[in-house]
Amino acid sequence: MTVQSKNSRESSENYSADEFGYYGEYGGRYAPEVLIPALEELENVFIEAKSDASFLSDLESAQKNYIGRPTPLTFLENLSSKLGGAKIYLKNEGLAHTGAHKINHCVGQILLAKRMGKKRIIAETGAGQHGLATASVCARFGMDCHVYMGARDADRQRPNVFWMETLGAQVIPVEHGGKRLKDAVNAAIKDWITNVRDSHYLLGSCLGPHPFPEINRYFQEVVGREIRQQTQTHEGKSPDYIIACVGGGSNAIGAFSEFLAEESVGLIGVEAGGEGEELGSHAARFQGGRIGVVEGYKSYWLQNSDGQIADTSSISAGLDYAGIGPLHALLHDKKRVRYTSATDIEVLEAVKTLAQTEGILSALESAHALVEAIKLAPTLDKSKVIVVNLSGRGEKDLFILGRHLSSDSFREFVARYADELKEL
Amino acid sequence: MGTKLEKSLSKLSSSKRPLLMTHVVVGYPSLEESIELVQVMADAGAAFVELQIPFSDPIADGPTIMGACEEAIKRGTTPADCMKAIETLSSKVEIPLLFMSYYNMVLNFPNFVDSAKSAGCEGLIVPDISPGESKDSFFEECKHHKLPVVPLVSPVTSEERMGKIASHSKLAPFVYCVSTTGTTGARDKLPAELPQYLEKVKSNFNLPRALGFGISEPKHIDSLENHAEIAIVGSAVIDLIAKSKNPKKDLEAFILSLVG
Repeated sequence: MTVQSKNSRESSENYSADEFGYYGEYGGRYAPEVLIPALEELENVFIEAKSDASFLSDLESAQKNYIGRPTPLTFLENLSSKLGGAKIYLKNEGLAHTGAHKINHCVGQILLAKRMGKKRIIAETGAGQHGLATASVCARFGMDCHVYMGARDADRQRPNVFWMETLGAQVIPVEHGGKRLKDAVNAAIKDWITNVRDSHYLLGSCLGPHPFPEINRYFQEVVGREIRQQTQTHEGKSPDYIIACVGGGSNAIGAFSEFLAEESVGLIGVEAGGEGEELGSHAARFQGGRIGVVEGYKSYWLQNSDGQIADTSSISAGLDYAGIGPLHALLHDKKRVRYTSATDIEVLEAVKTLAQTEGILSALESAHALVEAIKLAPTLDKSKVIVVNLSGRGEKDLFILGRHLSSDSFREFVARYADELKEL
Repeated sequence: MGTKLEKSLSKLSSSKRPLLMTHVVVGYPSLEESIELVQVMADAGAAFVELQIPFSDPIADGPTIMGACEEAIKRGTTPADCMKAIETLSSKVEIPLLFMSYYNMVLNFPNFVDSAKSAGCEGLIVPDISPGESKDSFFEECKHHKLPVVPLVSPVTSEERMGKIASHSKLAPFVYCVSTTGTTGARDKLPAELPQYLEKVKSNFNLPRALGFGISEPKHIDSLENHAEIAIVGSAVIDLIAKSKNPKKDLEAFILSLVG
């Protein structure tokens, strides 16, 4: 159910991909020939499904009864009054089943995979949230699940590895390159090249070769529709600002898409500022990235002057990625979305602030958006409304936060528990 | 006098056994050695050599070539080094040299197509861009500079799509037939359904068929008589170089055995 905004300034620009999958000059289908038939099949099945009432009813039912949609829009009364400016609301995707927005496109894509008769699912994951959501829908639909995860990410997001395995997925650590999300995408594509006849690649963001960016956008748009409706209910208007973190960019696309044509709504994407401004110390593609074609699509990529893809760094595995979804590249160039970044230190502080003022645990990824809201709110009038898309909840970050935020007692416990396990 | 490419292709009519195309990653094991290895390949009877410009994220390559690319980049090999290498080699060897790389390498190098052509490169193999699908001016530039792009097909490519690719590839020297679904890498056996697949390629392309991915032994090439006009051996050569204590000598013997 979508509430049509009455006073929005409609623009003709809807930022949809063209027939070749381009957003302006970005996107496209730069894939090895062996994958082209599978991409064409996926595109056809997707187009067909979108106008099939039974598919749409299955999707809606899964959104309501499995994911738990709509997720709440929560007014952060304490934080807003503490900051003394705009009202901050949280779109809490962390309360979706499996703890993040990733489940939205996983449910959609697993229905497409079923329609194509595929039995084997491949996925990549950074923070593990897309992998966790994929493993969950695979268990529910009886599919064989293979998740590629950079070895570095598998270590730092160990709780999610454990849950994926518990759900029956095979988690394959990737030892190449920087052992991060980009390398996991590489490995997943190679698996798909090899097993393309019987496997579906359940790609986890609004990136990759066409039609993936459009497919995931379609399944994530529900978030923005709910934001419109819920903000209308609470405030009687559209938000003045929507802020979302941007790794590949799926949660941001989901929150923004509904409002792209409504130019009075300010949209802000927050990239990972990591530890510094040098190439290799961050994952802010719009701060030093150049146009490149990698992993099937054209966009901004962090790369050296030869075109070799650069290492990245972020405390959040989910944003630690050298490329960015192609629609973001266009929205950046058109200045429809303002992109900024938050550093690791700011992010840790924001996690703590939200936890202690509102009793909500944010994922490190989503806390990047919070950092920006905390900076922006005091500069705005009290009548203004900011919606922060909290793309995921924070339990997965136990060991990272345990290192940075905890008292000694947590570390002592981990050491003692490790000793106990050795004796098992 | 035609180009070296035309000369090599003219041998096809007189040879029943497929001609050999081999592969090096420029900068592996070192820049100098990779250049010398091309010379050895040419002298031992390879009819074409593809020089891979190493890229950090080679999506269609298996562990062997991926590892060689990583190593070459680590040693500081740049695309400019690759341009110089092909320029040096094209004045030394009598066989055509092609560049193989990924589109990001092409996109990032100023005037790549013009530079490659001027340096003596006679063809391009770029597995992550297809004609008729992209907005890039790449294919027009190649046409303008008369630098042919080798089209690729795979066992899952439909005949309809083969026809479409063929219509965009009239100037190509040959069609690169990927033998199997998978990445590059030496394999023990070639897929049993190869003859039917290669027959489909023949009826849709008016071009010699070059078969690659998985070919690692002389007997593989024997089995391709009448099915393919060119056999491509890539990873097996790199595996050999990686293991060998005397790469030039061992490579020469291996190439001779493949040429038959």
